[in-house]
Amino acid sequence: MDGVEASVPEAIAGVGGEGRTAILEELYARHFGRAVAVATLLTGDRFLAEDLAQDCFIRAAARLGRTDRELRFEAYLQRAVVNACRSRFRRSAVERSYLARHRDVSAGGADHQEENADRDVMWAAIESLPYRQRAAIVLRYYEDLSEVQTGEVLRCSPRAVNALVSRALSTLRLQIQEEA
Amino acid sequence: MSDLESKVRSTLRRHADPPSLRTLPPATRRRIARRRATYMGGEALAGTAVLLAAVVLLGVLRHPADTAPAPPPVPMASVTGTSTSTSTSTPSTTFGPVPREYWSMLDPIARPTYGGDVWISPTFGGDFVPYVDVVDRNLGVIGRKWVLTYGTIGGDRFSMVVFGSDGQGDSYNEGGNAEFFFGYQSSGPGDSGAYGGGFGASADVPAGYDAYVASEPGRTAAGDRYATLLGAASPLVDHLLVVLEDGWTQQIPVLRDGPVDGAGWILAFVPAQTGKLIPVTADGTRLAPWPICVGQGAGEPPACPAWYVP
Repeated sequence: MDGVEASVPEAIAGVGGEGRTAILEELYARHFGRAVAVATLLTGDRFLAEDLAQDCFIRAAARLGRTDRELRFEAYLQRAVVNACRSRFRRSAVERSYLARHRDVSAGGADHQEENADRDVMWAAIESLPYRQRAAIVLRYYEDLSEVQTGEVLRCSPRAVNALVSRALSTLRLQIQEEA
Repeated sequence: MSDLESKVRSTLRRHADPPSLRTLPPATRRRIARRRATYMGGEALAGTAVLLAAVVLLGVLRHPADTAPAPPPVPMASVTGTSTSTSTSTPSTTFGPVPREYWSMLDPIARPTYGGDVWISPTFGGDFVPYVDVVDRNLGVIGRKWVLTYGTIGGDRFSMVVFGSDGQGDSYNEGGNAEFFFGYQSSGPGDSGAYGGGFGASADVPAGYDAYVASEPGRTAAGDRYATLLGAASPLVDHLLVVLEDGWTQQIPVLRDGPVDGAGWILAFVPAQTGKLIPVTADGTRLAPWPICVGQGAGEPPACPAWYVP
């Protein structure tokens, strides 16, 4: 973590007006794009990801300046994004199920075989993972978080993170082999 | 790093789109300021509530004969159009993975039939156990979760739950002190972290309003055909009027019960238009309106009524 971010919670508490705006602008420039990217990987929808990341940034930024407990902005934002995407993921579960069924039925046609051959097998496999496994994979391999940091975001132990990642990799390996 | 891990990493990087440098939009800055103000107010209110609870508890401990009343039964208000009648029963609630019976709707073909050009009239109550969120999401919840009401919409089940929050747990991070479950579905066996749909609404109570929609204005996504209004009302409020920009007016009831004495709760399904929610007292006095805004898509501020200044 760099100096600017480390000092934000303490610094912003006594800052108002333009000073506060400058800090918010720096945080936005530094973290928002990344939050959108993570949300995109977790939802598979760039536009939805923008909306979710925007809400999460606003929520995290509104809490800056609390002095009664440590608040690391980036970690808070990551957790908020993962939680928001999880809520969305649950809500869209039926849609995904419906679309998957629909896709399975229609995939048998000759017109679709060429399309299927071209699609990104790995991405399709990642998208099919259960949410927590998918989140663990994204945090470990896209965000490059450690097991401990990933556990903090997902609210589980490093050991549980290991288990999630391990199960996810096994599933991915299996699916890719099946596709091959 | 294994070959598989390298492939995963490169796939994720390809699909994430490289983050671009962004500048903070003025509208977002205003939303942060507004949210911060209500957040601070909400914290103060929560602190007061905890203090009051402690005082009440102390009173009960000092006067054991004055035992606290049993939790009131879950109300099942029958609401059709503008009329309201209430009956009560005490169904048990359920925790844990969502029952299969909730795997009902959100079919992308069926969903557009809800809302848009008609008012959605939920049928309150029903012969089923209302769903309450899973135990492991209860971090930060003060006391128990209350099933405020439940029923069906077009045959699909819903339940509305309210609870106190210390502002720090999972529940708050996911948005709130009120949860609404509708068309729930588990994402499947073996996924311990996913239990189905629904959404939360925070209770950052704004000052100066007797009724408010707990979710931020504009929380509905662009293109939604209706907005689900979850909110709270003060004891002064007898009922509410929803007035949309095209003049469409509908009376909606205030649901009573829950963890806060006297507080009322709002649940309404409104065609996606801007408008206002007007709290009305028992003697017909109209109190300060709350705006109904409509989302306009990523990065854009919600469209709100012209009279509303965030």
